[in-house]
Order: sequence, then structure tokens, then C-alpha cells
Amino acid sequence: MFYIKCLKNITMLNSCLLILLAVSLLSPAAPLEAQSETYEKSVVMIMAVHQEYNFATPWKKNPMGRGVGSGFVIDGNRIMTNAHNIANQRYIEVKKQNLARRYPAQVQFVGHDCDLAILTVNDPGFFSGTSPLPIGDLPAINSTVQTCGFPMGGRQISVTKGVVSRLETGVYSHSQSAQHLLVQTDAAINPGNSGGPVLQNGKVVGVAFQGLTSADNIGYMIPTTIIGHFLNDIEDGSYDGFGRLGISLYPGIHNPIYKQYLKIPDNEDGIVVTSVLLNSTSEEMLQPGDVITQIDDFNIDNDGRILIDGMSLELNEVTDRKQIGETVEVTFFRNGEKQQVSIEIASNEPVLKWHRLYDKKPDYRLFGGLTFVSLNRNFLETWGRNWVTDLPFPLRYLFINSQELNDDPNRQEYIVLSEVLPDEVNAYVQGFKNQVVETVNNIKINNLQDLDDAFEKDVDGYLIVQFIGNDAPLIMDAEKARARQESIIEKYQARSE
Amino acid sequence: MNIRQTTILMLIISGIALLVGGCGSPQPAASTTDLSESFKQSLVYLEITNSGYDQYQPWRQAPISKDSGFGCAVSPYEILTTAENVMNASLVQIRCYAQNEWIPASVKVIDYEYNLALLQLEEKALKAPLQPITFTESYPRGKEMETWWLSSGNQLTSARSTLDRAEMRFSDVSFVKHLFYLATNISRPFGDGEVCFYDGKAIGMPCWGIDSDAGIIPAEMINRFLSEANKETYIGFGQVGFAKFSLLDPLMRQYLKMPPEMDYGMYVSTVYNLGTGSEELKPGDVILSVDGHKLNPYGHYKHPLYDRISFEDIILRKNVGDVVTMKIWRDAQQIDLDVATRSFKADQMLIPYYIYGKQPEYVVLGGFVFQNLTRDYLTMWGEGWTGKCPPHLYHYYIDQSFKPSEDRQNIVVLNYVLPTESNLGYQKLSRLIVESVNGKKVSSLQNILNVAGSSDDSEFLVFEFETDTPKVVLKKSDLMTENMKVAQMYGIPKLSHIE
Repeated sequence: MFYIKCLKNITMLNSCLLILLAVSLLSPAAPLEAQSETYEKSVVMIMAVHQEYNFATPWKKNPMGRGVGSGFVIDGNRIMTNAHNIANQRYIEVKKQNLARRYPAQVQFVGHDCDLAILTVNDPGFFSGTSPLPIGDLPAINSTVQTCGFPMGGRQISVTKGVVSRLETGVYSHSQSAQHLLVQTDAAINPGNSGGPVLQNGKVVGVAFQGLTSADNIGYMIPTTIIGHFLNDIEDGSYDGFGRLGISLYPGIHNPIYKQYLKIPDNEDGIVVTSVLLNSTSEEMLQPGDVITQIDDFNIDNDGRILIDGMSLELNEVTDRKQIGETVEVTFFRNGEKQQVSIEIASNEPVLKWHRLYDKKPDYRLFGGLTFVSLNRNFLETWGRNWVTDLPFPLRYLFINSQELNDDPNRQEYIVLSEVLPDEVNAYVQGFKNQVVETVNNIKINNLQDLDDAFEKDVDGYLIVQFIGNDAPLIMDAEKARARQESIIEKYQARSE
Repeated sequence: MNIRQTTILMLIISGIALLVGGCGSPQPAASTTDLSESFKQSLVYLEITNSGYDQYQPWRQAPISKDSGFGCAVSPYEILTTAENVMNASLVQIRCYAQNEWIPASVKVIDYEYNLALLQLEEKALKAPLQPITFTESYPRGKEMETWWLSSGNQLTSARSTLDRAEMRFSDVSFVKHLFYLATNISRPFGDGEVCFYDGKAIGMPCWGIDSDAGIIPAEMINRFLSEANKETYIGFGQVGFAKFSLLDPLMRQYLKMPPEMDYGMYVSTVYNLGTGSEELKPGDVILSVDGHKLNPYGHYKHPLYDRISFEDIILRKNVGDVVTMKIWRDAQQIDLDVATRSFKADQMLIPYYIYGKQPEYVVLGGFVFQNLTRDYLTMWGEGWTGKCPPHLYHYYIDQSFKPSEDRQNIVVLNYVLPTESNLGYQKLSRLIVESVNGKKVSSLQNILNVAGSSDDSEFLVFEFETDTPKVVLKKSDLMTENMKVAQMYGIPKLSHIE
């Protein structure tokens, strides 16, 4: 899951210059093939400055960085690129081949779950001389494709050729958790290629976006089914993302005895539901032990796969091709009876989401030096490279098992005491750092806003914070904590930048 | 194979002997009197053959390994050593001064919580009875001690060190904290059952050594252990049945409505289902004193010799059944509690802390490998196991170890599935906590065997798990043949082991 690397070329400014100098010494490129003219006019270089917040002390920002990637012009004077090229951006510049001029660009839409983004350039002159690339279909296996972009920076568009090796469902490494269809190619895809088009017969058949560092010549592009979903999604002016059914499945019907026990007819194949997410659109529809045999018109095999466009793909291919709010027809067996429900596709995410957050200013609350933040992946990743193993155990347990551990439908997020800014009012409470809040002043905390009301109150002059799995409470003097509030914020400059 | 191993061992031994002879002789003896003469017939060298079990395939023994340690006679035919030295032993042999024979020894009493073991020798195996050493309770803080042992090369060997302090520390071999004398500036490494002397008297037995420090089990613990070991049955000593939280915050005391002058006492954060105080204490109690000794906010009391040491010391020196008197603060009141001293063994824990040398319990049913969740099981994840093992298993270890209940004596895990034709579809299941079988809660491996062997008319065995996984359904009538197939395919000599 962690070996796939986004192919954004992150360079320091001086190394960028070096590359540019080296390129400028070369003689002019030989005339390109006729077909290549399309991309020559349409592929652009994208340079972005990015900066992220510190999710443990959210009023601080991390150091900024720079990245170079590729993009291409599509209809409507828009530039399509990868979300990871412009994630957490502070400033974006785009540049065309052979021209010195750079144009500031803005993000119009971004889909971090599918790693796609649309940029616009205010200067209308930018699009003159470009021609929008049309979006094609899924390419055939073993058909030839070209990738275009700016691998490792450079001034000229670099073109590589290869074949489509296979189509499969895999992790989109930008979000670290979303799984969608991806196309594997052996055309060289290197850092800087990200966001560049993969072309076949003058049409875009994919957006180059990630590669395997542990293998040779395995590069991936985002297929046109996903691009199509993204473009349809934003037509109404906002991006809603990909939806799910909110169920966990296990391919258990391979076992004839289990099949017999679940009373599935011999001629039916399917996949077993093992859990249904709390508050999801499937909640009243499905239950553990149901065996799903069909989704829309697709039969599900015992591996949980469907045959679609001649390919055997994961079940979520059906939901990926629809928008949030649409429904799917689910046929399943329960107690030997065949039933059908139509389930709305929705975000259906657990309380503690697995994906990494981008372009999000983390919210927090500060009371008497106690810093409370929402428990999310970005916060957990502040433990560094080996965060999964280095995390304090209760946080790791909650992250990995939150779906099973949370049985409270009112819980919207987990709130954690991320930092104690030392002061006389909190001299003895450092030991509670990184614990997850259960109640404050006997009020259940289901989200960050709940803290506001809870800290307004007190219990006999005390502020009492109870943490999950800890009988010992954190006690503060309510009056003193309120009196010290401003000076603590002042002392630690804990004001949002 | 065996012969070769022995030869290598002999070569190593003679190598060490040469080395010892070479470097040892030019050094002038620091001590004014040569103690060695007086315990030539007391110190012994131990060779231990270890054979544990493979946690992943509990029907299989782990490769045999050899280890060495030291000990001393405490009666003509009894040897004292650390529990750690012999915890995985399948064979213990000793060698005496100026003799070549290996003399077999058997473990008579072992107490992991005290980290001590008493070995029994056969009278006829010895040429002459050994000379017992008597341990004298003495705490020469800041003074130089001599530590002696009989080396693998059959030399009486010694090291110097300074007794730095006494401290309650977590044991390397058990879940308890016990009293240690800490030695610093050790002149050469020791920590495997040697004997420490001061002023010509044995005052302790070292059980660990790192760099220039070593930990010594003091004579007072050794003497308590020996007197208990001489009784008909060894019961052992008190163990703590709760966890504490330092009560440092004055505001917390105020919140608990403790009077301002009551600036002592420690907070009880968790109460176990086992051990001393488990039935009498409640979470949130503040223990003010134990047996008349005032506890400070860290839970330390003032010992006449050792100064401030942790309260566990008071409980660990008690015999089971003795009364511990406590003054506690509960619900804004001071009350007196008479607490019975209780002890427990690791196998009574919900997640046994150790099984040392014993074969792990398991049941293989239709290729499904069920095992008890133990600390040894979790250590399969290797270095850094606490961060690497699955959190839904570690949760029981860290939060529930000391909390077995009537309904739940053990946590049973489906470790993995040995693939056969009949468990198709289930073969990727692993590390799942078994909740029930045919609707009956699973509290031990025996439950599973009972349900599987019961002659009721149910057609299936249905396992349910704590995590969101499918049920496992086995056909009862197929089990017998499936079990035979699995045993044959994977070479499992015995399909279950339950003690």
C-alpha cells in the first residue's frame, strides 16, 4: 500500500535551474511527427508551491516545498492535471513548451480521491495557440500509447512510448486509501510526468500519475472512466467525489459448506457481507451474512468480481461509474430468500477516515493550554515515517479498528488532546497527551464544536476531561483556566496564521 | 550433529579458559583475603539445554539451544540459581570445582516473580556433598562487593562492583516489580546467578547485567524463597492486584475532597481481578498507607534501610493469606481496609504473561489452528512487537491481562488456516479472536473441543469472531476425516494439546 510513489518532481529551485541550463545547450529538437503536434500545443508544465499545516499544533504551518508536474489543455479553456501536483498549494504557475512566459494559475476543482484537478488561467492569452485534447475510451490491452510530459522538469516535452499492460483496481497513492481502476503501462513514467496525458490516436486515454518504485517499467495512468466521472461530477459546480456502499465483503462462498449453511442455491455465486457501516445508506438494507449475487445487471462471482467491458473487475467499478446520489440495484440472498434493494451511493465513510487530507486547514480548540484536534490520518502521520508502529497504542487501535469500535451513531469525529501548552494551570496534565476525549464536564464529545459548550460549563468549579479507556480524569481549575486563556495564547503565539 | 555441537562447545570452552588464564593472571588481587578457598565446594557452573516450542506451529519444538549460568549450593544437594537461567530448560547439568563430570539437576521449585529456582541433585551422582552457602541480609550501600562464580573453564572467577542503591524494578522474567540491589562500576560483566559477597558474607545473587551495571536479588528475598521452598507446597508471595497513578496534582486532591494537610497517598487507576486488593479496592481510591507506612504521591514509602522505595515491596514480602492493613481515601472519607494478601500464577491471567518451556496449548480442527492468546504468542512479531502485532490482539494484552472472569479464562485466537480442500474460501483468515462456537461463548480451548465432540444433533460447527469476519462453518460429520488428512498433509503428530 505504501510502495506506490506519486510522480511529482519535487526539486529545489537551483536544481531546476541546472536542468534548464543543460537543456538550453542542446540543439533544437528534430521535427516531430504530424500526430505529435496535438500534444505539443496542449501539454503544459505546472509548477506549484505547497505548504501544509501541522495537524498536532494546527496554528502552525510546515515549511513550504516546490514541485513540478505536467498537465494538458481540455475543452473550455481548462487544464487537467493530477491533484497531487497542486495539493496544499499556495501558488501555481503554468508554462508552455518553448515559451519563457509563466502564467499564474488557479485551482477550479480538485478531486483528491481520484487524483485529478482542473486549473484555470486568468490570462486568456495563455490558451491561444493551444488545442484542447479530446478524451477517449479505455485502451485495449497491448495497444500502443504515448505519454507526454516534463519528467524531471526540463524545457521540452518528453514523449515515451509503450503498451497498455493491464487494467486493474488499485490504490491511488495520493489519498493513500482510495481504490479505483487504473491502467498499467510500460511506457516510462517518471517524476514530473504526473498529470501529463497518455495518448492514443490523438485522444487522451489516461492521465499518468504513479509508478512502482520496487519494479521496473510499471507505470500507472488514471483511465478515462475515472476522468469521465470527475468531469461529470464537477458539471454542477462542485466536486462531490466517489461514493461507496459502506459494506465490507468477504469471498467466502468458495466453500461449499458455508454456501450450504447460508442457503445459497448451487447455481448462484456471490460474496458475503461481513459488516455494514454505521449511518451508511446500506444500514437498513443489508446485514452481515447476506450474500450479494448481483449488482445492477452484473453477476458477482465468488471472488466478488464482475465482468464489465470484457474485464473482470472489482465490484466497486459499478459504483465508481456512477455519481453520489445515484442508486444501484443489489440482489442478495438472506435466509435462502432472494431479495433486491436499491441502495443510494453515498460517501459512506467511517468516523475515522483512512485517507489523507489535503487543502484543509485543521480546526482545533484551545482551553487553558489544552489543544484539542480531530483525530485523522494527517494528525497520526505527525509521528513520522514509521507512524503506524510508533503511534501510542490507543490511537493505532482506534485508527485500524474504528469501524468496529464505534457503535455510537452520534459520533462525528474522535477528538484528541494533541498538545498541552505548559502553563501553571496545566502543570500536572502532560500525562494525558494523545488520549482521546470521551466527555468534558460530563458532556459527551462527538465533535470539536461540542467542546465549546462543554467548556462553558464546569463541575463545582472544576473542568473535568474524561478520556476513552482511562478511569483517571484530567482536572483543571475552571476559573484559573479561563483567566489564563489569553496569556497562554499570547505566550505560545497560538493564533491561526 | 550432537557430537559436532559438543566439540564446538568444548573448543569454545577451552578458548575461554585460555583467555581467562591469559588476561586474569597479571592482575593483582584487590581483596586482602582470598575468599575463593571457602566456597570451592559451593559454587557450580550450569549448562542448560533449552527447547522451547514454535509459537506458530505449537506442535513443533523450536531448535535446541545451549545456555550457561551459575549457581551455588544452599544445602548439600540443592543448588540455588535464577529462574531466568532454567526457565526453558529441558535439561540442566552442573559441574563442580575441579571436576569434569556433568551432574544432572532437576528443577525442584521455581518462582518467576522472585526470579529464583531451587535445583535438586541426586546424592549418588556427587562424589561429596556440597558446602552450603548461607545468605546474610546486609545492605552495604556505597561499599565494594565481590562477585564470584565458577567459570565455564572451571576457574573460580571474581568481579568487583559498588552497591549503588536498592530499588523496585520490573523483572525481566515476570509481570511484577521486585526489589533489586543495583551494582555499578562492575569490573567485568556478571548477571547469571553468581554470588555477591560483602565482608565475606553472601548478600545476593545477580540476575542481570548491562554495560557497567548489574541487578542483584538481595538475600532477604533469597531467604524468604528458601524458607517457602522448604515447606511441603510452595505457595509464593503476595502480588499487587491494581495499577496506580501518581497523585501529584494538588488540584486533583482538592477535587477528591482530601484535606489540605493530606498531601500524601497514591491514586488507584485500575483494579485487577487477580492479586492483593483486587476484591477490596475500587478505581479512584487513594491509598494513604500500607501496614502503617505512609505512601507518597508516587506510591513510595520510607523503608528503614532502603529509604524511599515503591509500595510493591510491602506486598511482595508477604505470605499469601497474611493481612495487609491499608488506610484509604474513598468518597471523601478515610477508611481502614484489611486486605488479604493474594498471589496468582501467570496461567491464571487472561493473557498469560509467560508459559516458559511449556508447550503452547492448541487445537487443530479441520485445518483451523486455534491457540490461546499469550504474551509469548504476541512476541512472534519480533523486535518492536508491541507496535507491530495486530491492535485487536494487543488490546487484550495491554488492557485486560489481569482481568480474567468466570465467563472468560482465556482469549482463543484462530491463528491461521492450514489449507485443505474443505476449508476453501477460509484460507486467508488469520489472527481472529473467537467469540463463540454454536452460539456458546468461548472461554478456553477446551470449550471448542467440547462443542466439537458433543453428540447433539447439530449438523454444523459455527464459529463467530469478534471482528467483522464471516462465520466459519464446518460440517461435523466431515471433521474426523478432515482432521486425519490435515495431520497427514502437514505432519502434525497431535491435533491438540490442552493441559
